[in-house]
Order: sequence, then C-alpha cells, then structure tokens
Amino acid sequence: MNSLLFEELLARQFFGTITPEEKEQLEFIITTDPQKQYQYRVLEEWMQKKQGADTATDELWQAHYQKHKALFDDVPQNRRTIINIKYIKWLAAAACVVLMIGVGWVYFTTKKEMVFYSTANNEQRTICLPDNSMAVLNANSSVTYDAGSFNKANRTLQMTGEVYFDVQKKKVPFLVNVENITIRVLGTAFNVKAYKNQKEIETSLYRGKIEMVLKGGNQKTDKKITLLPNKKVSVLRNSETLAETAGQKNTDIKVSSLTQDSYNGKAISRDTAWLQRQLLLNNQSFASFAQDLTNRYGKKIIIKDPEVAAYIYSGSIPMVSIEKVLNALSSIQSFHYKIENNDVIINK
Amino acid sequence: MPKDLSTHGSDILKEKIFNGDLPAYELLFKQNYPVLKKYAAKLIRNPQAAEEIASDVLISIWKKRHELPQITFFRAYLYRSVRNACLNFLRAEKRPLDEGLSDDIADLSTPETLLLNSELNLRIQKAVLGLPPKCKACFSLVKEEGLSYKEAAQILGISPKTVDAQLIIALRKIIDVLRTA
Repeated sequence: MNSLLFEELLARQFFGTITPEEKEQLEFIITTDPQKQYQYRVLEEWMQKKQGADTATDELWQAHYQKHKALFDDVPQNRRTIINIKYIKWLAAAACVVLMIGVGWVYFTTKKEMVFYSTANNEQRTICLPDNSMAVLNANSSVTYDAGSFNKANRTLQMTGEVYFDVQKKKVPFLVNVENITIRVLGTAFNVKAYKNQKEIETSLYRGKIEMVLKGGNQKTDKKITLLPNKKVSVLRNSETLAETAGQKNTDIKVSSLTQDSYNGKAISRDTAWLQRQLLLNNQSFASFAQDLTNRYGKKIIIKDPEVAAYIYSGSIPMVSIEKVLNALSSIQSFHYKIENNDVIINK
Repeated sequence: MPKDLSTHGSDILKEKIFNGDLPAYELLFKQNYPVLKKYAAKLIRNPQAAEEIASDVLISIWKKRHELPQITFFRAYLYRSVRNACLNFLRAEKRPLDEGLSDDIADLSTPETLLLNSELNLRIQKAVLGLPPKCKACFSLVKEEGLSYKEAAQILGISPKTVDAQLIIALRKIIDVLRTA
C-alpha cells in the first residue's frame, strides 16, 4: 500500500467523509502494518480532543439583549401571545385603566417624538410601524414619523429613497409625504421609488386604491390622481412645471401598467423584485438599470464604452455585492470593470 | 442528499428568526456566541474585541433577519462573517492574520497539559502550528470547530476539494512527525 493513500483514508476517517469500502481498506492497512496502526491510534486519540460545545449563559444573553434592546422592541406583529382565560376579567379591567390613562395622555401631551429609520448602501430593512403597517426600506432610504401622534391623531410619515409599504386598513388615512407629493391611502400595498438622482418619482400599486396629491403651491394648483391596482405613476421631478401645467394637459405625469415577471415560479413585479433582493431584468439595456445599481450600492456607474451601455439583459440576478452582480453581468456579455472609491468604471 | 441534523435544526431556527421570533434568536445566540467568540479570539488574539465581534455578527443576523432566506449555509455564514470582521480588525491594527490554533499554544505552556499530553501529542501540536496558513485554516475549521468540508469551503471561499487536499497535506505533515518518533 502506498502511504499517500493511507493519509487520504485517515483524512476521510477523521473528518467523517469515509465510504464503507474505504473504511475496509483502512482497517486492512491498520491490521497488517503495525507502524501505521500505531500512527492511527495516536492520531485518533488526539483528534478526539475536540473543544466542548458550550452554550452561552443567561447573563451573557441578558447583556446582549439589554445592549440591543431597541432592536428587539420593534418585533413585528406575528408574536404569539397566550392569555389564560382565568385572568381575562382582570386583564380587561387593567386594559380599561390603561386605555383611560392613554386617552388622557394623548389629550394632554402633544410632544413631538420623531422616529427616524434609515438604511446604508446595500442594506435592506423591514420596520413595523406603530399601526402594524409594514415598511420595507431599500438601500439608501429613510422613513421619519412622529411617534407622539402616529396612529393616534394621524398616520403621516416622510420618506426618501425607495420604500415598500403594506398598510393596515384603518379609518385614519395613511399619508406618505415624499417631496412635493402626498400619497393618501386607507389599506393597500404599494412601492414608492424616489431616489434623488432620478428624474421621476415612481409609485406602484399592488392592492387597494391610493390617491396622490401633487402640491402646486396652493389648493387651486394641487393636482389629484387616483391610482388603481397594478398601475404605476411616474411623476417628473420638477415642481414648477407641475404648478404651471396643473389642470392642463400634463405630460409630466405618466400612468403605466406594471409588468409582471416570474421569479421562482411566483409572479413578481420588476418594481418590487428588490424585496427578494433580486435585480429583475427584462430586455433592458445596461445603461437603463445602471442607476438601480448606483442606488443600491452607492457607487456611480460610468460606462465608457457605448457598445457595453447598449448590452441588453434579461433574467434575475441576486443583489449580493456589487462585484458579484458585475461578475454575473460580464459573464453573460463580456466587459471589464474597475472599482475606484465611489466609482465603477466600465470598459469593453 | 439527506441533511444532517444540525443544519436542518438551523433551518427551522432561521425560519423562526425570519418571523421575528425572539426566543429563537436567544437560542441562536446561546448556541453560537461561545464558539464564534472563541474562533474570533484565535484569529485576532484579543479576547475583548473577539467578544464584540461575535456579538456584532449575531445582532446583525437579527437586524437583517428578513434576508435570512437568502443565506443557504447558515453556520458557515456566521463563521465567515466573524472571519471577515476579524480580517478588518487586523487590517485596522496593521497586523497579519495568523490562522488561529492559538489555544494550542496556551495548551503547550501550562504544566497540567504538559503532564497530560504525551511527548507525542506535543509533537503533533507543534506540527500543526507549523502548517502553512491555508492548511491551518482548513484544519482549524474542520478539526477544531467540527465543521463540514462544505462549510469550511464556504467560509474560506475555496472549493470543498481544496479543503480535502489541504487536510491531507496536514495529516501527511503530522504523520511525518510520528514517523521520526
């Protein structure tokens, strides 16, 4: 037997990938070669000295929990609570007292308590709003609201970047302010894309109905649009022209249907593929989605070669790191890229 | 191929954490904090910073829990995150990476272990410490941390075949030590 094979067999034996035939072979070697048997025994004994798998103590967990307490408090709705029937009367009574105090509290305190959530490059974040509505922030986005009045007097918030909302149905209207636009909803799911470096603000509706108000300086010049499901409104970012053309034929506002694509057998829209961390492309040129990469990763994409800019792509790419995305794209149609600080330079 | 129990267990845990289940996260923390801390301590040789790195990696799982379905090798992901954090730490301190196994160095020096370990064991440990970095990294993950080839490969960004080859090199060097005994 040659000794290379012996080592291979040992590796498989100790690290648990040995096959029955190999095991037989190893046993044969050990029983016929006393020196190898000795080596095997010593190694076996040594290999067994593994570190014990200890678990962290409650104190360590408590310290960790306290340190990040704020993060654990915004746990979304699907926490299960079991209430013992016996205590329900007491609970009801206690709830009444709490409610009374609460109502009083709302009446007598109108303190502003601004809450701000934001995301960095390549970060996505789901937050549960006080009314149990859900907001998913795409990279480089933010949501701000007044916790003192939200879900009490109003449901108003401000946003930047791109946010997907799934709003709980309530009597109080849910208002999203983004630049000069207010989106008014009752209970729906919709996506707002308003990255500063884009010409348009896009709102896509998936369920229910929303009303958009484009502020034009005063009530007269305000413009209202009602949006139905699976439609998208793009508003050109230029408040002055909006004010002038409000009421007239307006070419700054486009309504289009959402395109559905399938991903993993499920139909999803290109506008919300980011929720699944996917970049969904359907016959799009590189130049047309380069902006999406900039929004996501915070790096400017400079395509030097016009031929590369005109490359057409279809399919879905997981949005992991920018390098992975670029590698995937360049493996389909070849180009070279160089990342320099905040720029990505693309050449043929 | 059937999944082994530990990976399957972490799939359930992953799903629960994805749904914002705090007790599931507590379990994840308790099961993984000590090993991750130990692994970080080996790489950076700074117990305090290692605690922080392990804690930060785990809390980032909670922060990014809605992305968990995208992570296929959960345990490997945790180790890789710790490893990357350690690399950043070392870069900031302008220190080179030493592929761990520093626990063994401590073992070598205490009198009890000197008594417990035979002369041979010491030889083996010295041989392990003298392994080339890549080899040591594989050996540390598979032997010390008890991870699979596939997981070690994921963590180090190499193929499982390379892990296999590196481990065979490691064993060959160790057997060389035994042969001269």
